[in-house]
Amino acid sequence: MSDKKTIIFAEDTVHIAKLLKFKLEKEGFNLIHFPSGVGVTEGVIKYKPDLVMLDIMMPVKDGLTVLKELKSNPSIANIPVILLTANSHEEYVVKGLQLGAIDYILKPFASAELMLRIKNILKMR
Amino acid sequence: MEIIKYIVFGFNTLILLYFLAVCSIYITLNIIAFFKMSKYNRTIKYLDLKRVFKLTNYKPISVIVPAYNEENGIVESIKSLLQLEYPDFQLVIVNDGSNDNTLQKLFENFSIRQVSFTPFYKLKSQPIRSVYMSSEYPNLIVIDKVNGGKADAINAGINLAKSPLITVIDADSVLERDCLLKIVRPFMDDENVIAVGGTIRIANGCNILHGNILNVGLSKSWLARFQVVEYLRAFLFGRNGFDVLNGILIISGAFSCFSRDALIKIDGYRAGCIGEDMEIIVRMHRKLRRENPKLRITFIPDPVCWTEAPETFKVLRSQRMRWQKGTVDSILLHKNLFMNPAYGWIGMLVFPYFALFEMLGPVIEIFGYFFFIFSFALGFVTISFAVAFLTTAILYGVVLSVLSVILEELSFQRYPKLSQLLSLIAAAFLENFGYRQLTTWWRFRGMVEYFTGKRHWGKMEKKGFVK
Amino acid sequence: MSKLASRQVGMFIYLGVFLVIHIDIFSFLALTIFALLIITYILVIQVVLLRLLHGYQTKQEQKFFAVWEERIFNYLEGDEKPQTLIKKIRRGKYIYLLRYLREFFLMLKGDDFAKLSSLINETKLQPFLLSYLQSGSPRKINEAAYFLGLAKSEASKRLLRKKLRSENASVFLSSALALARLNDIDAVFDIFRNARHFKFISKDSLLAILSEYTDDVCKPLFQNLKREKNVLIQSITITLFRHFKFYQAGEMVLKIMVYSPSKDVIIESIKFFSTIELFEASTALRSLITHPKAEIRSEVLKALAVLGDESFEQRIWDRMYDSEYEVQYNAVITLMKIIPGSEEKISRFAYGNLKDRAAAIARMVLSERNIKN
Repeated sequence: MSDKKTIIFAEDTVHIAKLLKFKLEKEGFNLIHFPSGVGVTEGVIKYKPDLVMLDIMMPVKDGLTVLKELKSNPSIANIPVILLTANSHEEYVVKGLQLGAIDYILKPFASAELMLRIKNILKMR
Repeated sequence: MEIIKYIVFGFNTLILLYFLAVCSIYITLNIIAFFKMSKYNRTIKYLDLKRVFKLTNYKPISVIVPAYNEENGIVESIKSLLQLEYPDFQLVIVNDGSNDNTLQKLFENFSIRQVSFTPFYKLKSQPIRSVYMSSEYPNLIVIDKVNGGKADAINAGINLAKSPLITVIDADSVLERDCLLKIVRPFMDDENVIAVGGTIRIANGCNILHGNILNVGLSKSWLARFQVVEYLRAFLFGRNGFDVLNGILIISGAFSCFSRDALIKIDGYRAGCIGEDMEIIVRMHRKLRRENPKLRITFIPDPVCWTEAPETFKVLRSQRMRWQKGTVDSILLHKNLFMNPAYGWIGMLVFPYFALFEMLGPVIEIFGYFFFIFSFALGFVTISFAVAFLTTAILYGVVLSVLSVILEELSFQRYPKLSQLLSLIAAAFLENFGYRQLTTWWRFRGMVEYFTGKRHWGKMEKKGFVK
Repeated sequence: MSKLASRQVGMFIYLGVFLVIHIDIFSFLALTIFALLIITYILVIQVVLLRLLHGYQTKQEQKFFAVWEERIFNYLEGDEKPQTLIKKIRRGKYIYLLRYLREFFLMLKGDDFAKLSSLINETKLQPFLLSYLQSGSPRKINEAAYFLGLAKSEASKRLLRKKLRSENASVFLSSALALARLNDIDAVFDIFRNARHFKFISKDSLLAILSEYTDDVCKPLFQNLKREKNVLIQSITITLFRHFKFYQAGEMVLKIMVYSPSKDVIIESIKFFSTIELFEASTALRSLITHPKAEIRSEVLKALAVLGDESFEQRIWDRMYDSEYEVQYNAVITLMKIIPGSEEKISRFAYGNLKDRAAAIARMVLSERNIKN
């Protein structure tokens, strides 16, 4: 195993996910992308990532449902989770933070800021 | 002998004219629909539907789901309904006295607890036993009531719904996630809109996961494919065309949205009615639009709701017989709209169209076919007449069905593969040789049953989407 | 293809006319329908060809993305000039690029957004879009207006303002949206003025567009509201003030509300007061609490949950006996919010009068609250 940090990112806007993957891989992270909430929990159990980023509004299974699953499984509950959501859904953010998310990003976002936050969270651990 | 020949000839000609009229009306509607749809698509493309979330005054919606013996699908359905994209909506599940474990399933999955309740409105319904709310999902309400049928269950739901807009769906409808965003648009665009229908498509053959359409597909069964074409025809241009005249007389019960005030004003659904979804719209025209002709009943052409179609003859037969009874019932209940100038286009054109073609259609057609065969056998008809009759009755239908597939292809292109497009076109062609006549026969039988007294519903068997 | 089709149609009409002179009406009818069938057949072929063409285009688009994705990502990271990037793209592919960029525009801000918009504003894409904007086709105009608005392309303002005067509703809406995204403040009044030409453009559609402005739009709207007589514009303006939390307008809106006969204006004003927590409004609300319109009474009670105090207690209790359930329901909720210790009193009332409707509603509110906690 290399000591590359792994991030799991669930986001239905594929282009944006690709952009972040591009940026993060350039900085030496490893990013695994899921186009919806389906399979994310299983993915987290399998890959044991250092960080999970969840979009809240996703088809089939939304981010908050995934978050609940992650936090209710003791083997992965301590992996930090960042939520992404449109700036008009601020009420979801409160719910997400109550459920145990460590931070949130409102869309539209500046990728530089997101990168900084990711690095800070990973450094803290 | 000569006289009889003339009578037979005259009669046959009348029936020929009838077939000609039906198809010509449809062709006209088709052309109207084409223009309307291309305009609609142009408007919607760059609207960024989700911007509604940013607004401060979106209209809250209550989604009412009547459920009777749905223990197999109800949990999946609710889970996916809870994921609809809309800033403020409430789910009202009405357990209509199921005698299976529907309510039990809700207890197990949604941690619901009993609350005290008072109906806000006084629409007639069977007594409500109790009301439950969920601590986990604050926008979920479950009503448990004594069995009374679908219309009755919806009324009970309206009595307890808190939002100014009411969406009614079937428990087994599969909804597109942005369907509420789309269905409120007509209400937002025009304050006079009181009811909006959605376009229904056939879900058979589609890849469905947890109540979400992943891939649109076609069923292997030709019976289902014929129905796909039928639905395209009915929704794409049947309704689009009439919408131009503000003449929508039927909104499918599988997905419809109303202003609550309008529902309350007309005392809700008529309990015990066979075709409650058509009846309520006719009554809205009759009561509300008479007072205020500006009010609009409209529909949106986007496919927003997918429903399972029967794949066996038996189930399809009972469905079609039931629908026909519903149409007859709604039309007879409101027969004084017929050719009544006080109701404008509805009275003079749309209602007579429904009475003549939708209600009496099967009778005339079945009679026509038999009469034609009979007189042909007796040698009463010339070859050129026979050819004309058969082309009008069958080939004209082919033109229509194929045109509706073309219209779908030009507007929404929901079937991604070329092979699917080709088999739809094949289905459009083939449905005119047998399938259409068969459904006509069933509708005819439905009518006979209606008038001979068997007015009960008939059961819809579920195939179920749960895998 | 369509030339071929029209030639065939012509042929059939000719044939039809020829035949009708020589044969009887039924054969003619049969032939007409056959002709329709053949037209349909041609349409089918056309649709299949269109599908193949569409499939080809999609493949082209995907190929384009595959090549360009990384270049664009690199551009967003590095110092490459937008002109050099765009130079490598053929004009025919511009529209692919724009569609590809759409989501990035909607999702990114800050430096990323600046880079994205200079991709349009400092390159040949801008004249390309402006030429679309000047074309006669509403489809092209809408597309161009959309992207120029997204990229906040200052150079398009003048043309977009012209397009506001269009008689085509979709052109009007798309150019209004673009101007709002460009934050062209002066255009607000043009939007109001021209919107009146369209019968079906509603308050909500206008609001959806106007809320794309930044809060700079409030000041001129504030100046205008002093003189504005049109009720629709008044209520749209007040709703926007609420959207932007424009505190300054509080006093003036209060004055307008007191004299306004319009239900819409009154309701929007009340919501505005509660959003900006304008306590001065509570005196005016005191008299509106018995307004003949239930919607207004209900809205007043909701606002009192924020603005009210103990002096309202008796008046709110009275509303629990209102004829409309919504008013009763909100009365209970408001009481519990603003009167300390009222929960106990309400529950005594609720469970002490089992047959009373007001008590039934109070029981409902209590048990719903119980579930949520």
